[in-house]
Amino acid sequence: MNSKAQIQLGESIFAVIIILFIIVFALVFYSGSQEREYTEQQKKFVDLESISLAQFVGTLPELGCSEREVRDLSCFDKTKLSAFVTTLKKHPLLTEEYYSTQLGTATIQIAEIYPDKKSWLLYNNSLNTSIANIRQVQKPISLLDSVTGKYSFGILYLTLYDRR
Amino acid sequence: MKKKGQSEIVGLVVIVIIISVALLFYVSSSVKGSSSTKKTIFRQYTNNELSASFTKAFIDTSVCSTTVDGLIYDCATTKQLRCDGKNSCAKLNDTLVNITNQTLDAWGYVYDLVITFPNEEVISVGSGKCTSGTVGRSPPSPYSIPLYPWVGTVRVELGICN
Repeated sequence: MNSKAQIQLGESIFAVIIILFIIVFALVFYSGSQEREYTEQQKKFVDLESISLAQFVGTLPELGCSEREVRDLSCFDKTKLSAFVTTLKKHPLLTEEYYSTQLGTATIQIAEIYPDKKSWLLYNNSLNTSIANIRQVQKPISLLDSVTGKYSFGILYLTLYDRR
Repeated sequence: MKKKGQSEIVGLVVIVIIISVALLFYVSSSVKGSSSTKKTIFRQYTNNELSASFTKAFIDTSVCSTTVDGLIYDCATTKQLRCDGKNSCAKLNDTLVNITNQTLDAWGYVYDLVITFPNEEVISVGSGKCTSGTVGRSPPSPYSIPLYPWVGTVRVELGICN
């Protein structure tokens, strides 16, 4: 009877160990999949932030061209771009404070590629330390020469820096 | 003894159920993970945005005394316009190649930009691997140019397959 009770006890302990092992196994898988899901969610939020920033740059009235007070969102005025760059150089602190809160850590450059070649560095706030990821958005745009009324083909380069 | 056998069977069934649920959970989570990572929002947005904004900026670009829009119109109708010693169709093709070389080609995109005229003639640039119906092609934003008072419209379409 004694040995039978010992065997039964051994069986019970074995069953408990197996069940515990299965539970731990399930928990490990569950936490792993949750972690993957959180990473995906985090990436989505970063992506959405990049998208909203790209849209924001396109709507800046101090750079865009308008006709009869109607704003063309895919067009930038070359005269305004040159004036903006000059103002940034003259008053770096004044403009930096406003745009860094709006644009964060990014670099914004506009380049004319056809028919002439010229570029304007509008904003540069690249992190010197701890950059985890760099993503670049290129958006084809029209560049208006408001003196001649001619349009050039240009590219808006938006470089975004993700903090580590 | 009978009762003992029954309780062992119940224990076995519980273990089998736990294992099945764990496996089901693992399989479902792995399938969900692989499909969501295929294409991010960012990639979709940039491709769609690139297609629409490229077409719009290209159409508006000034060439000689007109715009690309005007070149397309003349190429589809009278072919009277001369620009840098070339007719409108040749100048249109040159401008298209020049701009795509510096942008989409330089960035390594797989694309096809097609200008379709009412008489089914086409001017196209690209790899030819991103034509209509290609799997993974982002929906292009077609741009139509009416040829009034002539009949028909010209369709400009940029498909991107990255």
